[in-house]
Amino acid sequence: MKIARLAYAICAIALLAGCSGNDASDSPGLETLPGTVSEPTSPTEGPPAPITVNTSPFNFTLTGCVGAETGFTWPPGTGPHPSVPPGWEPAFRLGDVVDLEMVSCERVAWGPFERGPVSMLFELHGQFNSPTECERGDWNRFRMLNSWWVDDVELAAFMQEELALNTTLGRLSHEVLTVGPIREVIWTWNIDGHDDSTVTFRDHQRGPFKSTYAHRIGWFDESRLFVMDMATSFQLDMGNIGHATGRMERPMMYSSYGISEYASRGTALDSYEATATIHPYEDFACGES
Amino acid sequence: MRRVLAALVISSLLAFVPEGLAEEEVSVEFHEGAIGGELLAADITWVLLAGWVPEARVALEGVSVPDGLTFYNRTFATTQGDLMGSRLPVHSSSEVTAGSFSGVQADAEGFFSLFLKGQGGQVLIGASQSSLRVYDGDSCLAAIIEERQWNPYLVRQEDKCGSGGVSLAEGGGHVQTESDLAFSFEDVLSIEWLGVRASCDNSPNCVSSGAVRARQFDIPGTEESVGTVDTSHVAFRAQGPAKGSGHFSAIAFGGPSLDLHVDGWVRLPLAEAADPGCGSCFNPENRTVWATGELLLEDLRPVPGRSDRLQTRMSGDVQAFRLDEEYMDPASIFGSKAGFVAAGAAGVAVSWVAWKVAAALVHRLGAEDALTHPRRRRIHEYVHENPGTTFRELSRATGLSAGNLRHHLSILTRTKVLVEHTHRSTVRIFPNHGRYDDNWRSVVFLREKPLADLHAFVKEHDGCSQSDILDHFQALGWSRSTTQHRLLKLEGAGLVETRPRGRRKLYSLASARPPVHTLQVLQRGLEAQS
Repeated sequence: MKIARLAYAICAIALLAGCSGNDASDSPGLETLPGTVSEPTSPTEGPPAPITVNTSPFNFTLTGCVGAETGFTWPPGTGPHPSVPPGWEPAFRLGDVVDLEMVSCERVAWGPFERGPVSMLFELHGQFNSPTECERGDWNRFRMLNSWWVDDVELAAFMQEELALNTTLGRLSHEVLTVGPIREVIWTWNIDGHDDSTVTFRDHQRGPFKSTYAHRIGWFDESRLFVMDMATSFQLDMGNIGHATGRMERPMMYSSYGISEYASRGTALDSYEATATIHPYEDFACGES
Repeated sequence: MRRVLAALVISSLLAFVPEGLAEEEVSVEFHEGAIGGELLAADITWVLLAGWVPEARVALEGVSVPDGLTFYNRTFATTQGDLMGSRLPVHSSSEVTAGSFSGVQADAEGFFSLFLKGQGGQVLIGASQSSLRVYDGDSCLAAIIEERQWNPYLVRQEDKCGSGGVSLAEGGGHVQTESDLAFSFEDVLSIEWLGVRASCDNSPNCVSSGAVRARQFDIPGTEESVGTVDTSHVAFRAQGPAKGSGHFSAIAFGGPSLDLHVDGWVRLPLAEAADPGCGSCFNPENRTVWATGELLLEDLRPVPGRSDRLQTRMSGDVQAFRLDEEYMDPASIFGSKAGFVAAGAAGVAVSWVAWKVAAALVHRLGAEDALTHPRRRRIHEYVHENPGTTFRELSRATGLSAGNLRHHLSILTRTKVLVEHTHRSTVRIFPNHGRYDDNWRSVVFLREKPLADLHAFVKEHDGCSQSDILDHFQALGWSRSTTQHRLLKLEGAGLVETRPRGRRKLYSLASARPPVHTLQVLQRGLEAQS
């Protein structure tokens, strides 16, 4: 029993230290199995099936993706002020972080959908102070969602209806150019009535470096909070974080002060895969689910 | 002995021709995917188990350590406060070699990790959701288990899994303690553990454990502190068979080629025909295969030269099948209900593999463990209320497909919760508490309502003549010959007996009667059916 107690003590220390944040009862951790319902909510009508496959809106998988990520840290107090859930207002600001994560996937499995290719863009920020309960679990970085772009109209509607997601139905594309030893990955996106936003990522094609990253991303509506744990795996250019340059146009948060030119850190991600579980809460403190 | 067992198993399988069991298999290759449900895996060559909650536990028995063992001592430090989450690197490492032992028994609770490498490995997991991955020799664990969660609490990750293959991982950074687990290896080659208590058959100086010590130091003048974890990993070459069971927080296992038996679902993304040159073969054409049911993935292995694609032969009792978002009739892919017999040797072989895995493992589960599964509880409850039920009746009553029911029934019978008896061409299922050991045939007869009615009449009219009986049931619409035939059945089953009186035959209940409880249960069951 001493060993067992010691082990629990280690776990407690590890939890406090954040290196093994894992909690069986309180954590918004992954569900064991996806839910199953008797009828798909469509999109494709087919012959009636006695049992349908996974149609839970709270799990999704991204398969066969390429991606990219970039982030910009505004000087303290100078960045945009996205809204946060009640009680999540930051006490102080070290720097206002706005991040972008974009992916284009051969397949997206989400609720009744299994389709592709689908492209997405997450616009995220770190300007909040989350309740302790919402920080339990295992993740690398916790950010709030400002907007979630997707280029599939049915998927966008599903995300909005089922999960109160602030989805933006937009056009997203990417292309890869090789310039000598340099690879350029150019991502472009827009919505009607606005100019293209575009960011170019450059790397050295020096061979892949496998990595994993656990995103925790939150969003909310008037009465509910959603917390998503998205485990990703991908390959980097030898693990280097490179440069990203381009233009950010409205409605991106970055351009809210009229600045379009963009230059920051960023990297293209190859062989990107992701699985995610979404936890809905009836309060803003991750208490009632 | 093995041949006899195999013959028995195959004959017992043939006795249950599951409705809807696929007669054909399809060969597909696909991008790394996922499976969920109850899982049996055969031919694994390594398994890594970890626990980090009080409910996690594992027991291992019967391995030998011919060459002694090695301790790997390491200390890790972590911080909290404003530096929360920072992890300092390993700052000490040493290796100490100790003596040799035999018959090592080991168990662990709460916080542990255990890695086994060997041949002929099998794993049975209760509820699961596992990712299917291609691994190479250097990255089998690092690539499938997120390092931030496992290090420093795991056994060393270097050079674990041989020369590549397919792996399954479940849990990772998330707790899965509701999952039961049993595993076995025909021959263990090496073992490494941390946080495991051990004892040995014939050595007083048996290795005690991979020791674990945690400390915490406050940094004066700040609100920060540093925690350190001292671990002593134990690693050794082993030999002989090994078996284990328990609950886990996370698991990963794999091998060059696996056979999987899944009672649940599979998602095989971006699937294509494994042989593109086969024009008549099923070809998903780069769509994603979703399937539910009792599914067999045979010879699951990486596609040569591809780091993210796998291939397999898929078959089974497919309940639902989808290509991308288009639902399809499984029979159009896997054939109609021709079933096991028509499936031929291949189908038998596949199911034999699955059954063999189950048979080898489930004996590790106790009756109590077996009944933790809700479907098995449902089966057990129905059989308890309806002793002598048939397979098909049980399938209808529980709503389980033939394949699913056969799977769970195998576990319930192997764990001696239930027992099966062959009655003519049917199999009858009973609770295995001994009450029906001697009279199960009587119970089976009395499950037939006409025989039960006849039996009740004789009970109420002890010493009645055959003509009394024939007259009574003729009035109810039975022909005299039918009644005579049924009386003979009861007599043959020893449920009624006759004695002559002159030219007449008088009927009474046989002295060896089903116990009152049995009759009451049967009566309730018949009333419910009517």
